[in-house]
Amino acid sequence: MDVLMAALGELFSFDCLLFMVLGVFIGIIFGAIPGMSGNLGVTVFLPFTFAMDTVPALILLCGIFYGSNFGGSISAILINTPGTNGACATLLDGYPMAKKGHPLKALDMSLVASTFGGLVSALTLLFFSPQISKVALSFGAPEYFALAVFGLSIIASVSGKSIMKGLVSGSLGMLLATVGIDKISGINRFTFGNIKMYNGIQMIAVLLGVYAVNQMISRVNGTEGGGQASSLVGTDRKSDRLTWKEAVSTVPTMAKSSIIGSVIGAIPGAGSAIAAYISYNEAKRCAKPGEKFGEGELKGIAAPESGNNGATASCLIPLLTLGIPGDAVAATLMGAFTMHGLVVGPKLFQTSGDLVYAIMIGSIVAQIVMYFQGRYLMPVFVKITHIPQQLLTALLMIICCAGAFAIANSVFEVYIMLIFGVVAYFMNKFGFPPVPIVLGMVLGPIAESNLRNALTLSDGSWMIFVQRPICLTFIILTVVLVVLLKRTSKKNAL
Amino acid sequence: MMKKNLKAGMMAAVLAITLAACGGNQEKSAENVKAEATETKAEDAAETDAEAYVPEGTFNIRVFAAAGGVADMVTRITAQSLQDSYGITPVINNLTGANGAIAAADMDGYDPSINELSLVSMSLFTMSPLMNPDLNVSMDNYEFVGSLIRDEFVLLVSKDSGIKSWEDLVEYGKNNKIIYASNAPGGGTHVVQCGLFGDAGLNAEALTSDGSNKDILAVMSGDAICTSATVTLAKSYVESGDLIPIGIFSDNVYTGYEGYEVPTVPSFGYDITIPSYNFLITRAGVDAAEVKGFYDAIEACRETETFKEAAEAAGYVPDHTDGETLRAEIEKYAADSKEIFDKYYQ
Amino acid sequence: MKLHYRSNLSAGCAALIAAVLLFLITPVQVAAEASSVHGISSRTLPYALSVLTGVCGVGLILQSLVLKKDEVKELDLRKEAKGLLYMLVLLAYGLGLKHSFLIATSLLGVATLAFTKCKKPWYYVISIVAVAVIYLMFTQLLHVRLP
Repeated sequence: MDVLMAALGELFSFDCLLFMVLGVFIGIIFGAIPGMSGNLGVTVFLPFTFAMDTVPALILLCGIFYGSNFGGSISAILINTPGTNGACATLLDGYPMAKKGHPLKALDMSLVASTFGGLVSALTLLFFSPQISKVALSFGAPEYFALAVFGLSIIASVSGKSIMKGLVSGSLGMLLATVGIDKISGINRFTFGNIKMYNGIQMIAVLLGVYAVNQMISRVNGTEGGGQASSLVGTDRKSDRLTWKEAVSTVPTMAKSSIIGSVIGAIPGAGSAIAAYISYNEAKRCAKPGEKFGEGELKGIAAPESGNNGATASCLIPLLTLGIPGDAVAATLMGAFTMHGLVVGPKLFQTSGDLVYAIMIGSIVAQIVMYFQGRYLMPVFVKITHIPQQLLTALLMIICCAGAFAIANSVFEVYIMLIFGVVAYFMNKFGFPPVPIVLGMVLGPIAESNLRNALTLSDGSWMIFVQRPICLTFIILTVVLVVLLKRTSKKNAL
Repeated sequence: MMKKNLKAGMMAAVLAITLAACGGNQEKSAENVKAEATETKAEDAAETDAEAYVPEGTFNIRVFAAAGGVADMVTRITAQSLQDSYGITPVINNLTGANGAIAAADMDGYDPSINELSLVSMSLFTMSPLMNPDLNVSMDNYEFVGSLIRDEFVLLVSKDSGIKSWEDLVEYGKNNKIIYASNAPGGGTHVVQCGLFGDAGLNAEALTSDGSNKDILAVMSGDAICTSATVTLAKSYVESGDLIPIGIFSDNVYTGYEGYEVPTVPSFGYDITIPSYNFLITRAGVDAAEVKGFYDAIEACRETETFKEAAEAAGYVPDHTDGETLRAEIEKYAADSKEIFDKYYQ
Repeated sequence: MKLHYRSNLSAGCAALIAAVLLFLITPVQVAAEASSVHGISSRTLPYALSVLTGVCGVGLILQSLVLKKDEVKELDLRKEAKGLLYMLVLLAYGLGLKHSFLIATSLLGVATLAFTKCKKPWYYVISIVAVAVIYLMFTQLLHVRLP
């Protein structure tokens, strides 16, 4: 109790709250700009926090992290370009809804779902860290492999009309992820003698190319279907907002997705993108007749955003309890913790309990701050849709080039973006969907490396995948979901 | 008459005051001259000292590790301290991959200058050229400025494994394959464990990952029986009782963990003492005086209170190996690594 | 002028070609390991992906030719030629970027506007100003060195 009171005292100070508001705002901006990301935001502001007190510094950085996950959905919805990996699933329904003339409603839904997911995640962090960290400890190579296969099965769901084309796209994604030094054998793969390829191909560069550059080429030559998200001119603002009834109807979806996100976020190395896709897939599987996912369905926005933000605070669980970062941003945050004398790991709660609880409670408050900020910023963001198409195309091209460069301060990433923009343009002509490329890039390396490690553990026996309960559960889930999804698709088609 | 006297008196007084003031000034001037002379001497001395390099301007430091990692944090602490002391503008750029080869390659794109630096891992010059012959990295192309971190690797087992010592591990290894968690082949923790188990004749196989934290997770979850991590990283896990250190890859017994005297791997009969070394390099062709001067500046900063506070908060113990000594040490470890590579990586 | 093509058939052919190329490139770009992990080496996944891509390619071709399940799409060659031209602009941008971010990106912005047949001078000014702002932000604020 004393620790909690001390934590509240640390948290509810003027400078702490000020930096929380600032952090969330910065995060939303960084997440919304294609090429910038939460990780970049945290990295840029990390040095500024050295001179700050511990709690305000860490709250600022966590705020950037949480805000960026919501921010990524803004560009996904308005300009069909995800600002973060996790927002890739949001654009499946977000952009179509915006194109139908409801950009504000789509953003509203995204904000509500992000807040919901973030709150569940932060409450999980506060109340269930020890239990969830035990789950993280029981995740070994076979479990990671099974999770990756489960995630890859979603390709069937997001492939559109042709699963075979989806598999080809997914294969491309997995192939791209093999570029660089193989972490099992130490051998170079597909580097073509270029030292910059040793570190692999950056996913954000590919994302920018596949979504943004591809789209720009289509706009430039006039072959883009459907035009940009409709402007607000002529749209009745009131009817464009999310209604209370609509929000309530998505609560079960948001709840399920938030829990999925919270659990997956706590698994080191899993990440918010996996959580977003699995949540989307689950919502689609449970779709009622008349709910048309992929055409601007509200639940198609609610699910991935809740899943995505559900993974944010919970990815701090393995960091704080075991000293193992849940994803790349958590790894950067780990450095910030260290700089402020908080040695993450098993002894953290003993040595700095009040500070840690302050951050955990701060994570809850930050979600509410994000909601209000998002609500008031939204009409500003939607003004992007007022920008004339020609100017928007040119500006986006410029921003994407700058964003690609910012990934690694290298023109090489700009080249990657441009190359994959062209590749994706031609793939589009053949009808290959882009979403599985992202899935393949995220999940392919997890599947491959953990398959090889699992076989090392079992001395070559494949039985290990059915002998471990969590692993077996995921495999059964994969089979069941693929079958159920096929049935649902057939039912909906009828 | 009275007015005249008064006038005279006033003028005299003014004169007296003026003279007194002048005298004072003169005295001051003398003092000033003395002071100036002292100053000049000091300036001369300072000038002589100032001929030694003083960092100035913008410094571009490429770090081979991701932001937030130990190497990144240490570089930022050092850079901040240099900024505070010398007013330089440090620009930290994380160019990850290949133990620093990508960072070094980026640096090679600029003219040799002490303002262009890279923080790299020792593996860049020891294992990387062996694992990737097309890498074309040579110590001759760089000047070694000095070390920022030197950390030994410690061999760790889980508290639940039932193993408390190297002998216990060897006993375990007689009937079981030893699964050890490490980074990718060629990485520090893989090299030392591969070399140790190979020399010990134990049947061992690596469970690889892309970070020591994940290796520790593998041991704590029971997937791997042992792992190796730097002394600093392992500290919190050892102190919490989750991991037990059973050996250190060093010539010196380690007593930094409360309640433990960690024996050396050489005492087991295996001369494997390769540490984790992260250090600053710049391009060959930079003036040796500037290289030395920059490292001297780093050492001077390490004596400041602000640096000490920041380092203590981060748990960072600076390493004081200068460029010349560093080069010699790396050549030694390169030979050790080659020996392990030839035996177990071909 | 319009060109009609069958989506599944052409996708299948493209996939098959990609699969063959990948199969041929893999042994060149991925060295053989001294020993594999229980039959799985660094080459296993690339080979597996080439087989999967090839199988899907054949499947798409069969779907088109045998099962007659295909969609006929249309290519407007004039528009596609414009697209190809824009790709050349992107190539030129890539080459120019190494020398100067400011000039190359400004020209890219201008070219993009020109390709969309923009006739408003202000838009060209805005795009150039945007590049300048980004340049200043990167170099002065973030201390990032742009070419």
